[in-house]
Amino acid sequence: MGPQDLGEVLQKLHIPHNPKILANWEGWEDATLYQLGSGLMMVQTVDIITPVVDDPYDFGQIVAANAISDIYTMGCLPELALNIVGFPCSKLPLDILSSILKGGQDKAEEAGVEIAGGHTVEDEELKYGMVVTGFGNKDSLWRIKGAEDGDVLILTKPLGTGIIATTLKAEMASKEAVEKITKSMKKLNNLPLIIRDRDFRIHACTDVTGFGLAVHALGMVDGSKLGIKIEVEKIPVFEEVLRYMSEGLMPAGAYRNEKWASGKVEVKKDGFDPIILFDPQTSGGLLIAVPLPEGERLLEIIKRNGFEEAEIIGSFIKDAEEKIVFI
Amino acid sequence: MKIVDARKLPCPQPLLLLKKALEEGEKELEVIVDREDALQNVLRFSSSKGAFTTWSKEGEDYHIKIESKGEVCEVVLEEEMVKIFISSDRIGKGNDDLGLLLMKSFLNTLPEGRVLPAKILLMNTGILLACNEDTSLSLKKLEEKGVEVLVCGTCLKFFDKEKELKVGKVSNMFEISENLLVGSVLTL
Repeated sequence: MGPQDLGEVLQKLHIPHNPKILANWEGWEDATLYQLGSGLMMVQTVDIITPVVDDPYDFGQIVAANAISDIYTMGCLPELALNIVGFPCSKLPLDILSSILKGGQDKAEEAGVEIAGGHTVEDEELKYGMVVTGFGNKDSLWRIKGAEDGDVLILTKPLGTGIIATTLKAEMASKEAVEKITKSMKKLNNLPLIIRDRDFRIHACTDVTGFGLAVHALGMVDGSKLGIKIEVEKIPVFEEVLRYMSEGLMPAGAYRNEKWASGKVEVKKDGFDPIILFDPQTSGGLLIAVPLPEGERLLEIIKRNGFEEAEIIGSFIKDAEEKIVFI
Repeated sequence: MKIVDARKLPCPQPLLLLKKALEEGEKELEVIVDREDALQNVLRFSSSKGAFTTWSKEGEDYHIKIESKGEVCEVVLEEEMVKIFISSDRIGKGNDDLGLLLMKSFLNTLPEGRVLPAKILLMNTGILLACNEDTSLSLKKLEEKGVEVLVCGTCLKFFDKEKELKVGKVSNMFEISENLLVGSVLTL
């Protein structure tokens, strides 16, 4: 769903107060934080998507990487998961579902996650998702908010999975483009593991998913009196994306995201089509706020761990209007 | 005019129907969609194909009229576009004043035409056209329309005009000769 519709629906729900719950769906957080006592935190998330690539085994892996990402963004490690499946039994052979679930299981295993069960329903359209549970320490949590003035912003994966997946549905995507996004979407956002024994001050972290780069970046500054200045040329983008974009192969979600964010996002770069900033990502990269002196060193380590296209794309600045400005 | 009714279809279906109709040789089309995202995508697609497009909102629907490769808009593929090689600041031999006038008028007319060259390659006294007040204005107009203007660097040095260059990209013999050998070239 788009941010507008979602906001409208959630507004009508009563959120009960529970001192054990540190984060719920208020405030843009990626997962729910539940205190188990003596500093131990349980973190939980759920994610479900429709196919973005044709290969069922790849799709399964992407679902797992996408769902598990929300645990990593909180600085926690995932341990347990449950499958949720909607499957059109009358339309598709069961072999396909086996391959999908195998993909999910293999990727979960790679992340050290055990899939302990699940639930299926018959559905018109294929859907696969996961509920993931992880654990962390209260003192070392990463939240979506917490960035400080002067921090730099790192993006770990290129943008454009939504556009290329739409182009694939139109049977107009090149094989190379599909291979590139598949590889990227399958990649675990396992930053907490990568920097486990290193001394970095991660001030804030989130991942770029369905609302697109600009809207997820807005979540990081909401209520902080900070804004973000992002250099358009630094943003990593899959090579084929600009061409597909100009041909109108945009997912509808991009326009919903753009509409919702209008007024809070300013584009000062001439000749640049801003719609890419709103492209909904599946299993997109992490957005990380880190103090300037640590930025280059962290980027180097991230790049070395298989995120070759990661970049420092901008920095946090004082801004009472809390805007994202693209220059 | 063929009507493509793409209402109630999720993206990218409206585009696929449009693309199919264009591939079947339709020159004038009307696409009807009922969502703004579909409208935006159809507009992006048709502008990338260089088609002439207008749209209006009628009730809940958007009607998009597309004229493809018709009278209104000539679409020429980049590979088919011609390059113009200019090695003098005037056209033809005989009367120099007339030659200068003809060149000035040629460059002045070029940006207004329906068919544009891909590139303009300037050598010898041709480079003066990128330095003079009036002719450089015409070249600038062409640049704005996507025409690449390459100016011979050696020639600029020879005429001591490096500081007077007003338009174009300073180039070298390697790049210019490559351009002369690939694709069609018109020599003035």
